[in-house]
Amino acid sequence: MMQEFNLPKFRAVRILRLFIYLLIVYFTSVNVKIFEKILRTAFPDFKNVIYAGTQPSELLIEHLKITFISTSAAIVLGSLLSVIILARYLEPYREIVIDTASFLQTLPSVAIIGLVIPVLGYGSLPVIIALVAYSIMPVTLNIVSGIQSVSGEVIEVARGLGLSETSIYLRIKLPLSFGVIKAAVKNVLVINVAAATLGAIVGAGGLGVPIMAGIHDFNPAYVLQGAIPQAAIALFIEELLG
Amino acid sequence: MALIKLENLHKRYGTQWAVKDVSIEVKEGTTCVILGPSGSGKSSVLKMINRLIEPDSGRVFYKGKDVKEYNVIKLRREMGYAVQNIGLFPHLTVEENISLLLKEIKWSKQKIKERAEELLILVGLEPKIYLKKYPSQLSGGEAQRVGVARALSADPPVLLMDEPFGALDPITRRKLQDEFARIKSTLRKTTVFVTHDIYEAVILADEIALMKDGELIQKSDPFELWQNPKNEFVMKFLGNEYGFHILSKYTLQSLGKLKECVERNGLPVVNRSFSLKDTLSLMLKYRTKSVVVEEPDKRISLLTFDEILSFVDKKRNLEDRINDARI
Repeated sequence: MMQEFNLPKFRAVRILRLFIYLLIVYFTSVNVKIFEKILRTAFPDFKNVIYAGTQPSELLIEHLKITFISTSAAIVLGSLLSVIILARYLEPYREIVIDTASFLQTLPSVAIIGLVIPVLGYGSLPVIIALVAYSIMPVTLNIVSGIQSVSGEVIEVARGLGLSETSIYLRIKLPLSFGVIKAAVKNVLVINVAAATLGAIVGAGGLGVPIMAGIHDFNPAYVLQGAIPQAAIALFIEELLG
Repeated sequence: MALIKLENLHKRYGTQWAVKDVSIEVKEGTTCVILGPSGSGKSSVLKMINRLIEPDSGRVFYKGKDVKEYNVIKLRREMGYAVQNIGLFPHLTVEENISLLLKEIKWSKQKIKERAEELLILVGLEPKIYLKKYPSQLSGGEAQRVGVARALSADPPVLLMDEPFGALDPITRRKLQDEFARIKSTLRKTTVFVTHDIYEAVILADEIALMKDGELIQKSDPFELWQNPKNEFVMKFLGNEYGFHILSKYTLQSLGKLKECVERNGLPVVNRSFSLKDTLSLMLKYRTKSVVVEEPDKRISLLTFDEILSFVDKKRNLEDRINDARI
């Protein structure tokens, strides 16, 4: 079934889109000469149109670092947590754990950053922790619901054939829920690309820095400098994992 | 000795008995078909053998030992398992479906590949075409063949089959039933086969266990079930057509020596591979009480309706004698 949808025609369109998003990121964060000219034409009244405090490429790298470290950590921890939640002897507590986790999800990430700073101080760590705390639940819950959605009959057949529980988990349940899990990872990544902007508040850097500066100085060019590559990265991820 | 022995099995869901006091013995190398309308508890009984369902009370013995004393994984690997419908894993190719268990019991890659090809040939699929296909690319009949191949993969001494042909269209189903009957007779595995298809039960079974509402109504070989139905339910469930199913199971081979003749006299000609049912059908079609049998050595002999009658009679007396001996 999987191959049928990956028709060459569609694949070519996808590759083209991915390439365009990468170009946008490149020309707004790495080689910014053309971008600067465009911004100057658009905002002739401003003296600076590119944020001068940090190299644009450095902002990009910081941003990607925060996003990918926090997302990877959330995936690893979320997988472990889902295994624990799905453990048969913990079944009576499953609902409580899921409810508690869903409640934690409702806390705004800014608030989590605020709570973490007094303990860990400034830098990228509090942002990463906030993002992990924020994204661990969508990952966990999607893995859990993905695995629970695997048809009971399929699992019964696997048991009947004499497969061990570990191998049923690794060879049947996980691969069959791969689609749901992939969607969860994609959503979390997209959310984290945007949420990593918060890093600017606590001195972790990233594409939030020009945005904050733009808001502070009433300079829309700065805001665009941070927002456009960020949106392009989000679209890239969406297309890649979609 | 019975290879599989079910002893007073009970299972209740809420107030409803799914299985009520069922005892069945299956001798080594024979096929026991558990037959019954849907909801009669036949699948539940089957699943108690490989412990997918635990009975509330009663015991299951395999090779004389309670199945609870076995490691459940090892027990299941002794018993190939095939089910209706979606039994195949949709994300794995035919080859991967068949070899999943073999990988787990650490067969070498080369041996697994050979085994997968051998099994596909056995169930009538061309390995070159089918090994790399996904279940979604198979027709219902092909998928069921793969399901049977997978159940046979580790060459288990026992086969448990839960309506494996239930979801197929009538024509494909007949074809697979007849082919499976052929495969079964070459493999000589101890088989427990669940179905609601009476024809299937007759052609596959050494013994039929007829169930209704969780209870075992009658257990005997197909012929005796025909001649001595225990009650009206058995009679009604099997239907009048049942007799023809029985007759289709026997070929003219089972009639023994026939009277030789010289002339064909314009009678219909059959050979020893014809079933009794087909022979009868021919007699009716040509409105004659006798047909000419072409023997393998090219001589011809005469078969009359009376001989079919006396075959049934003889068989029946034999059943009676066995029955008397049992009591």
